[in-house]
Amino acid sequence: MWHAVAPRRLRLNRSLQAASLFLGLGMPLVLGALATGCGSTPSPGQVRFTVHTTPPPDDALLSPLTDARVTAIDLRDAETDAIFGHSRFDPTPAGTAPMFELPLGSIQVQPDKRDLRMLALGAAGQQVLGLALQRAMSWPYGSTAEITLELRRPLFFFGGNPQLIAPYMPMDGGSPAPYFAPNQQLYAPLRDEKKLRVIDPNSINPLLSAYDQTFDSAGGNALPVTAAAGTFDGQSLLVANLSGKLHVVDTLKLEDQNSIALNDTLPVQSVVIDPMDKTATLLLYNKPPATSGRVGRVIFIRDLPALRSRLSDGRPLGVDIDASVVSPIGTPISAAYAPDGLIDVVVALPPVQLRQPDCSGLGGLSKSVILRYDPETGMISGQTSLPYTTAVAYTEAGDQVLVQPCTKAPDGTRVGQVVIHKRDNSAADRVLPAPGTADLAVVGNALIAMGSDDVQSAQGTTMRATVRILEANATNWATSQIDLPLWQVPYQVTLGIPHAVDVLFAPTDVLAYGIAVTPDRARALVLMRVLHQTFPGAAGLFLYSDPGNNRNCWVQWAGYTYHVMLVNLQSGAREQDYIVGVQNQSCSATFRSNSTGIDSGVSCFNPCKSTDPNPYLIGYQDGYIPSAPSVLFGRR
Amino acid sequence: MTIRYTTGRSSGRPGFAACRLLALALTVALPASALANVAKVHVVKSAPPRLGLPTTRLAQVGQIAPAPAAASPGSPISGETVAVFEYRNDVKQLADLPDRLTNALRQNTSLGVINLVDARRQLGAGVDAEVARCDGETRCLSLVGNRLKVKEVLLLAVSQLGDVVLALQRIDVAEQRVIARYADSLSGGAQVDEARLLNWLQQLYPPETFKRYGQIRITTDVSGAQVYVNAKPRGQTPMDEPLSVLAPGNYRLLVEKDRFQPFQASLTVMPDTVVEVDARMVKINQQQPWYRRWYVWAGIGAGLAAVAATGVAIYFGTSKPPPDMTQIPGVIIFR
Repeated sequence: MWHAVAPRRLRLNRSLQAASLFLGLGMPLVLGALATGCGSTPSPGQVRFTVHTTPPPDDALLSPLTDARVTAIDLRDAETDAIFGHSRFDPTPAGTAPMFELPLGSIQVQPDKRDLRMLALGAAGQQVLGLALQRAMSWPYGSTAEITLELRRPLFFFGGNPQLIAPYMPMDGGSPAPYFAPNQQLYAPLRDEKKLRVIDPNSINPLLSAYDQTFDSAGGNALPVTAAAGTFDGQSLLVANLSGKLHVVDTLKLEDQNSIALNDTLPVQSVVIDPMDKTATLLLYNKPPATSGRVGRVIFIRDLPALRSRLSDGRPLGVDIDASVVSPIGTPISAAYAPDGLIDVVVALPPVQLRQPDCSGLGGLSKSVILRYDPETGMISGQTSLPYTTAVAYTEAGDQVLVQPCTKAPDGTRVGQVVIHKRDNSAADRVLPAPGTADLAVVGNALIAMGSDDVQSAQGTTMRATVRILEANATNWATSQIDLPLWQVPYQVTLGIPHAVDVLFAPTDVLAYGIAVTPDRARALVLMRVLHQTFPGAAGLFLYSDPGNNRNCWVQWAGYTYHVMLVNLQSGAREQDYIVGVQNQSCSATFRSNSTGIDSGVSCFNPCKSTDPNPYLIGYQDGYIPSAPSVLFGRR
Repeated sequence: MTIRYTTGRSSGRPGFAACRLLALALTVALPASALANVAKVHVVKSAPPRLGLPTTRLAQVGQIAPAPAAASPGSPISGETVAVFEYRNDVKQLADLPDRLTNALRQNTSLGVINLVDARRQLGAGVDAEVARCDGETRCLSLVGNRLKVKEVLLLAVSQLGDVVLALQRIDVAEQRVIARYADSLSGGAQVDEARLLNWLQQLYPPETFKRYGQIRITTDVSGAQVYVNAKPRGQTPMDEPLSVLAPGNYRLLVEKDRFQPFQASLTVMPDTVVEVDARMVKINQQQPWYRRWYVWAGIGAGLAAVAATGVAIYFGTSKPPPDMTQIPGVIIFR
């Protein structure tokens, strides 16, 4: 009996348990479902873009939001340029912190992470006066997304080099003779070679001198900046100077934020940042370069975010380049991140040295090599022997671009070419003439270079500079020519009673060795060396006649002027041209026979006489060789 | 439960003492219910089957205690195995460099390494002359490497031009090409310390190469128990092969099966060692409460399904048109 009853009681218990659970859990669910079906629609959420920019009192020059020309704000996909949102904008007066909201209306939801770019636009939407980049953002439906954007002006920067020292200046009453004034063409506001200069490319007065930077200046011993690069998010500038330190400058107020000692005797000559801002590469070598032993070093900053946020030293990893293991011997002069994350480093002779690049020796194959490094391990994964190459870059499509200033393109007149190697090897290399170009910039898939006119050298030719732009879908350069100033070289022609004459030497060749371009491809900052010389092999400049001996005195001269040029890439026009350095290569003055024209070899002009203890026109130099062209929001 | 700590080092090496110390320091964390099953910690000297360990090395350690997968020196070498050859251009200095390079590779990487001595065992004494005849040429060395059945050849070239110039090349045997190279120069009489040797190797090989491994061998008295290492499922018992893990490292082991108390252990695994874990699973013996019975939950499930169906029907019968979910309001805030 007992056995017969017990199972029934258990079954009853189970039924009761199930029923109670149904009532306890099921009913609230039923009510919930009804409430969901019959109630209001769920909230769509919101996306809030909070914009930070330079606060007062620095906002007048550094904040795009106080620029009266800004008329609109755009939010775009950084990769495709598709517009997420757009709004009219009325700038606030400088000195008043902008604290207001700008409704964007409904904008497309973005459930997947995208890189977001904000643009502060002026001039009918064509001029980009401010930029911000924020990576991996999303704003899905139904949630409130908070996105912070750091808005900055797309500023240019450039640095200096050790001062070129004039060997001797003739004195007049205890002071340098004013009629010599051989440095009168140097632009006085840029005389200090130690400063990192700040340039606003969109300003009528582009030199933001109040924000020029000096580094490690304790005790007045600031040393020139030799390399700089802006991050692609525009928030930092990496700067290296001759003190052997790498500085991180916060672009909000252009303040030196952090620095690390590189502990190396070689100076940094170039900084390259990976387009994702995760790593950076420093190229170190001496000028003039060593030809034996350790000729260069590559330092990989493997954790750039940690360096920028002062969490660590960025985990630097150095790799030496020894003269015995690279062929040809050279220094690391250019680098670019390849699409696969590895970095290509060009090892070659630096082009900006006296009488370099000497294409009579640097023509032909195997004059430089590209070493491909893994920036995480410093391991070399490949090397490519090339003709003399001074720069490497990659387009957005991943094509490799090489600048080869000593190789003549098939349809070129002067030496100098740019080679475009397709990433997928789908087509043969494109070779375009580019004389006088040692560096180029890539914006998207467009190439921007500057150099000389592609004309034959002749006694009567005055060389012009040429802006070259290769659009992504174009087969050849779009070009624009720019006249260059003559070099005014004054000298004394009499002793005793001073009489001076200014001699003007025309430009005969151009080497654009540094270029940075704004992200909207509107303007370029170009560092250029212009050669002025009497025509090689010809008599030169007639100075005076010596009829008693049937001979004339002729002067042969060669020298460089160094220019910092701001170029409008929409019109191809030069907007600013600052000469910051002059450097004489050679000066000789000899008698030639009036009847035969043969050079007697007898010196006739004292300032050029090599035996003179003060030959002030031989080796005459002043100012400095500008360096480190860079731009915020990156340079590929 | 038994945890045995097994090391691949010989007793004559410093590693053995270290392993003893480590075994004593081995931490074992167990749930309270399993504490009664902790039996002992064993230190056993036997050779472990190591990921990528060269067979020659297995044979060496096998002299101490036979390893399960140990191979004789003459047996084929496969997988990530490297042969170290030297090409010397009449330079007397640094004669011990190939051996030190071999040792550095063995101690710091997961590569199998054979040197010229090992190569002689496989191919006979003529291999020295064969390597010398190659004259440093990539294709020729690849052919020797192919006969040794190695994946790569590491060529150390030593020459002297005032300084002693060292060039290291990784040669891919299958592709017969140099895949990485590194060079350094040493002034006369300079010595190479271990740190510099390691630096050379780090310039040549990717970081993964320098990863080292240990193993966890798990045995249980039940089959079908799920094994987790650091919360990642790694298979079910019985496990024929030990689990390879990066070493040194600390790992949390969990073995669980329905109706058994879960087994947990916290282990420290050192390189080239095997930690043996014998997980005795304790059956849960108490009567199940009503809420653990399947038919209770089946009833609840059916009830919920009915409620959900009703809710859906009411929702679609009364709801408004769906909102536009492709747009949301946006606002820019200037600070």
